[in-house]
Amino acid sequence: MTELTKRSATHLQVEHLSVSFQTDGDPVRAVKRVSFKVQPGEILAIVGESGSGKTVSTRAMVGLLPDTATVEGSAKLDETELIGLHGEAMRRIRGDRIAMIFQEPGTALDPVRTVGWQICESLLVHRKMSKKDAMARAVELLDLVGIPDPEQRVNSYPHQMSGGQKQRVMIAMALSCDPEVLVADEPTTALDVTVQAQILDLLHDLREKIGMAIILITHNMGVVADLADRVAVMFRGELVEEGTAEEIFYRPQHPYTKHLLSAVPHLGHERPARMDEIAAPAIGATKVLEIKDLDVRFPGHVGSPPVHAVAGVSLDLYEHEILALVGESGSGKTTLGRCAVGLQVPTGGEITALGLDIRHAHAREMRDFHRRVGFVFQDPAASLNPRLSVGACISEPMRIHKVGTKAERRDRAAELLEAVELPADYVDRYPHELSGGQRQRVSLARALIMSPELVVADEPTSALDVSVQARVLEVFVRLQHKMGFACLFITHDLAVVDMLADRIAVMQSGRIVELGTDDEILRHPSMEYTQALLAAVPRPDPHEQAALRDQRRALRAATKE
Amino acid sequence: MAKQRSSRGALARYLSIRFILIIPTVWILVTVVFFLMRITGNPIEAAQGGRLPPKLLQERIHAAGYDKPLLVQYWNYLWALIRHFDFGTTFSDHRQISQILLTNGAATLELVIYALIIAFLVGIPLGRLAARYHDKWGDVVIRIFSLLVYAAPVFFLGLLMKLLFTNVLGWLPSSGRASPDVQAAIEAGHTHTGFMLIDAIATGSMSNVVDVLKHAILPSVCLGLMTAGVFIRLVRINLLETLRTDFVTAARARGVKERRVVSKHAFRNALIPVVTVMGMQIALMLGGAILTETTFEWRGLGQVLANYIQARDFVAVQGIVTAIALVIAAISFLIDVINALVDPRVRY
Amino acid sequence: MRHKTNKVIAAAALSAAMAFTLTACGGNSGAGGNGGGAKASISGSQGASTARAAKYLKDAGVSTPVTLNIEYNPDHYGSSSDQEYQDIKEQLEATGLFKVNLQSAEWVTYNAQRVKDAYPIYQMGWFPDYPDPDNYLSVFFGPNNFVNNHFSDAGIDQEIVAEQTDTNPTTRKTKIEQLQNDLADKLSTLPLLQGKQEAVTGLDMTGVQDTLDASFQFRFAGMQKGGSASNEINIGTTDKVTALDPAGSYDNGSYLLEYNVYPFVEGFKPGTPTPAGDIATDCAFSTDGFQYTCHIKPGLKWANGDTLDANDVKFSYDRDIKINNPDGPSSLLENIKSITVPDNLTVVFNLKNANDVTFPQVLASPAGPIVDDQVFPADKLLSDDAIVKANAFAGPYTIDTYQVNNLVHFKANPSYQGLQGLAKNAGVTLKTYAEESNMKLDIENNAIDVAYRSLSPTDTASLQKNKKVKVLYGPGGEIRYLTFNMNTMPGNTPAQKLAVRQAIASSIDRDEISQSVYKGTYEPLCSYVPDGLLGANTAVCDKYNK
Repeated sequence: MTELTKRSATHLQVEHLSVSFQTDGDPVRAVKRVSFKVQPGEILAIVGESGSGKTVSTRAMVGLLPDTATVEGSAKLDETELIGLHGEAMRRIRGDRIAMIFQEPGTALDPVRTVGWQICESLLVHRKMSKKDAMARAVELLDLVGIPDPEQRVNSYPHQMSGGQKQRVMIAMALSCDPEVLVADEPTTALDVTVQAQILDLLHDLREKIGMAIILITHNMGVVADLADRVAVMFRGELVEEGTAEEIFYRPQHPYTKHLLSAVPHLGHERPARMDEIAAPAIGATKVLEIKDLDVRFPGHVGSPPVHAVAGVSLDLYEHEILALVGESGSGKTTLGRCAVGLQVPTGGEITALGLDIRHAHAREMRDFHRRVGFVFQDPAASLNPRLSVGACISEPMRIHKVGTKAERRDRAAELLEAVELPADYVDRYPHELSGGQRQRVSLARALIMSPELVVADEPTSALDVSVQARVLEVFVRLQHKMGFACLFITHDLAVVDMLADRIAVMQSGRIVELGTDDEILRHPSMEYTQALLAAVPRPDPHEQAALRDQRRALRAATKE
Repeated sequence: MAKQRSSRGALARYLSIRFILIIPTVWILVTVVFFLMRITGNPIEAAQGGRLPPKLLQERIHAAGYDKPLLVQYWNYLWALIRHFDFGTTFSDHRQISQILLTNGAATLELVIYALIIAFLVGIPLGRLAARYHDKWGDVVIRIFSLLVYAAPVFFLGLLMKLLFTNVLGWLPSSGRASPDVQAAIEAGHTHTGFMLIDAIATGSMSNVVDVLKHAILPSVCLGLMTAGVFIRLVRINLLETLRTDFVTAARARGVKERRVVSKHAFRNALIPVVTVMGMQIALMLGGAILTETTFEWRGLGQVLANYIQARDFVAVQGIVTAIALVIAAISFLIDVINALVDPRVRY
Repeated sequence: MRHKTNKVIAAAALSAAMAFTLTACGGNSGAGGNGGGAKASISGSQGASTARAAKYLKDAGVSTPVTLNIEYNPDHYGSSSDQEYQDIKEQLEATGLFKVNLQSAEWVTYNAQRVKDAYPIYQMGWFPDYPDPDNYLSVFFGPNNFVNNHFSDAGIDQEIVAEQTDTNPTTRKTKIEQLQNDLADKLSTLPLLQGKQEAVTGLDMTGVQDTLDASFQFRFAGMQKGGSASNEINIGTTDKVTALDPAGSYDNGSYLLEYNVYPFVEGFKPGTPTPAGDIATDCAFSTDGFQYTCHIKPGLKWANGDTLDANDVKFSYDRDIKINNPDGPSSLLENIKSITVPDNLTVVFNLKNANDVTFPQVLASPAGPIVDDQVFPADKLLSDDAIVKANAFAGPYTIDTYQVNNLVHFKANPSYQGLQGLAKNAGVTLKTYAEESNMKLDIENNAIDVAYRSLSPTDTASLQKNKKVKVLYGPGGEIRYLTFNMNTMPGNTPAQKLAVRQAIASSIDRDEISQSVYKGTYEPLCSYVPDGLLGANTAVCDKYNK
């Protein structure tokens, strides 16, 4: 273990910070007269949805914005004015006094250098020391951030590490020069929940151990509740509310803050009442989907063994049922979903969907089958053809299956648009004119246009901001109630699951480890893995989260023994 | 350091698999070339048709075994190739194709090496400069330059340079690999590697070496600039792309000096796709070498290939094309090796 | 002598093929258009006469305009063929008597189609096997001629035999002139142009002009640089070598090397197209004309020390006939029945046909080189490198460095005792160019001393203005002509067909083509035998263009 000195009470004070970007049209004002400050040992969370200016305002402080940006106002680190500082003077600040952690550890590390090399570089640019000492220090830092076998891992390349380990390396690098301020920009967004929990614990510990000031940028209220002392809420470039975590969570003032909090799916709470406006159709006894001993292997690279994505999974889905498939990345849930609608050919087992044995079906049977199923993709931007109008995108399945006339298709598309609560005249627009949430609703409309009996939705909301996510989920549930399709809902977000699932299947390493009703899984999990998964989900409530953290520690301690 | 060793083992395995994969690749190439050439009929008829009385023609076809079933011919060809590296004998002038490959291939290789050196010396620094002065006038000038040298046909560029450096300035010889007397002296020497420069050095005469180098300048620059044009654009675009990546921002955020960010982080990463395309570019260079060789009387493979095509000597063409394909297979293996060295992710 | 022609023809056509591929393939840009009045004509050509052409047609009752389908080949007879035939079309149509459709085909197709009567009127070219007038007569107009245009005339056949067997040059000359006059009446082919030999040299070169004689052999031995016999000479050419083995090659490029390194029984006396003893002291026909006996100089050696005598002579020709390589010249040896060697210094050729005046020419032709019987195998070809390694040479030069079609270094042979005399230089480096433009640049910059075969007409024209070089000319053996297919050409009767030929002959202005297309590098050919050879006259121009 290494010792890190507590620093004297320096602090960062930002006043009336404004940032605008030159564009071909009018300049875009991304940040408008924002002021906040952060003290040593304090964690300030800046929350807000994408485009609210939270990242831009912190990057402005260290001069990492592109040339098209104009920054006004002041940001003082102790007595040093940061705005307007550049060249060598700014370089000395970066990494040494203000360090940063980025959202994607996968892309924020240089792929062609060992992690030790990169940590050493961070040290050597600011400290006069020998390479040997730097390497020794790198090992210490890796140990500090909880990388096992640091002496060996120091020679690893980023691609040889998991996402969580990479983020730990990023943190080690950020800590290398004992910065006064650490800016963590969405440090856990790209990680699985259990890994996220570990990183959050690490940041929590570090704050206590080192006592630096941390600015935590996030859109996840659970993360805020977990770590933040004080919270600043940003909305469209403005800081709309600032206060202690207590104040923001329990006594929000600004309407946007209230809206934000209400939109956050809250694991363990009762389902919001409005989701049940239309009574859910009763789950029938007919099996819509029957999977037996499903096995999927992908051939590995030349010379390496095949990847066993799904290993002997059996699963039934009944009429009108929403079955949620949850699991961390690489657990095989997406592969399973793709098999269910015949998009992926399994290597073993049986799948009967809508009464059809799809492993042995003829091409014509499959064509017919595809009319009766819908698939919603994760990334609406990628799944909609940018050259087709929204109407054409939605009615594409009708065109493919030669259903209806052109006018009928257009009418049906408009009808579906209304069903997903978008104006019917959007039929003539193009996907790029829509926001992310709107696009996902369009993609939902497309999946539903043939009135499918079975829908597979693969992470339909994970690319969306929370408030948008809430709207899309609401629409989805309402339509399911109305149309009564059975649904395999794939997600990594347990809080989302709680809003809609009848039953939940938890997947780990290609197997289903636990399967049960919503209530059984979320509130009375029997398997250890499920328990760990649940404990890892940050709750958007500081008190609850504090309790959970202790519980999590206990759980981890128990597992270790 | 157990981890290290296993990573090195993975690299060795990766490279050996790549190496083994050359065999089917080459086999497919040889086969395709063989059958493509035979689609046009038998080589003797192609070469001599209309010039020989039919009876004589038949005799020659029989003597050469071209009246046997195609598969038997294919097997014989393949067997000769495997056993003796024997590509057969040309029709138009009865030369051993393997001999042609050795002498003329060395000449082409020498030219390509010079050209590559020029391409790297010009292409990479200019590409870096262009990326550094992105969208400023320096970038614009370099981009126009790269477009011009790339788009200008070799013979045109060659002609211009000959006019300037030979006719107007009189600094450099216009063609050939050496002056006739120097070449005769080199040929009379004892070292015959096919690489004119090495052979010239072996004669021990400084004036011979200078003469050879002077002759190499125009063709190398001509072919090299064409490739440099591609390199400039490749390096520039990839460097720009890499400069926008997170890890570059992250390095800047750690206070790494800008020059170091570019040289140690961005440049090496930008090289990864560049290396692959460069490999393909070398293959293209062999094609470009044909034009350069004819323009500058450089007795390489390209030039003999052009001659044999003109003479409809398909046996020769088949041999040379196969050899070029072999070289390309070898280059692609080399590119894999370089890629593995530059990019640790390749060594899975 | 109807016997000989058949085989000769196949080979000669081949030789012509080789020759033309490598000749006059110039870029020749900017040469188009009508050059206006021709000047500097050396022949009796008087240009076109529309009135006479119209009269021929009218008298024979041919209605005008006559549609002529003329076929030419753009890739074999030099790239100026396009312009040449465009020019011919313009000249013919300018008379108002003809409507010309020009068509062209690639060589392989062209050469196959022309013998299948596919073309009524078509372009041809010729380079002789040896510089004898007969090589421009019997192979074109005798029975089974290679032109293959269905021309056959018993009177002409008799005249050809008479000319072929007349050993007296004076009377033979008269016969050849008469034959050409008669041929001008029949007009089965229309001679158009004759090539010139040309060489471009540096100002310090001497002796190059002497070798541009009617023997058409480029002899290195007489050339000198800077007035000193110890200097070496750099010569450039675009002609390519097929093989250094005489039995496997029959083309300009190979023969350029062979004539300078191999001994001959008879070669050409410098300055003349007349054969004379090279390793032979004397040669003569027997009284019955069926034997041709030569006596070999005593004490001759090959450069490698082997003895050179009558046995090598017999070996060489027997070998050539035995190997019978399709790329080789063995067909020229058709008249040899057998060869005997009564003693080491005497060789007797037993001939099938008596008093063949072309036989000495054959001995000096590409079929003539003598090879070392100790080195060459009797029944197969020897590779170039093996020949060089064995130093199997006995001409004025030996070859010590040999890179095929790239660079050949010749060293003067001090023990040479032949016709050409000892070399006036220490050695020659022959550089082969792929691009004539590069050869032009090198001669311009004096990187080479001599450029020989072939520069494009435009290049030669521009070099003539260059003060650093000399452009030298000599008579050339190459001819270009138009062939009529006697069966398929326009005209309903033989008389009408003849009238059409005569009208075409009267409509052509050779000077104009020579100047505007070829910048004077080809000259009008006004009869069948080109200038410089026995019996050359201007029969065709006299009859149709005066």
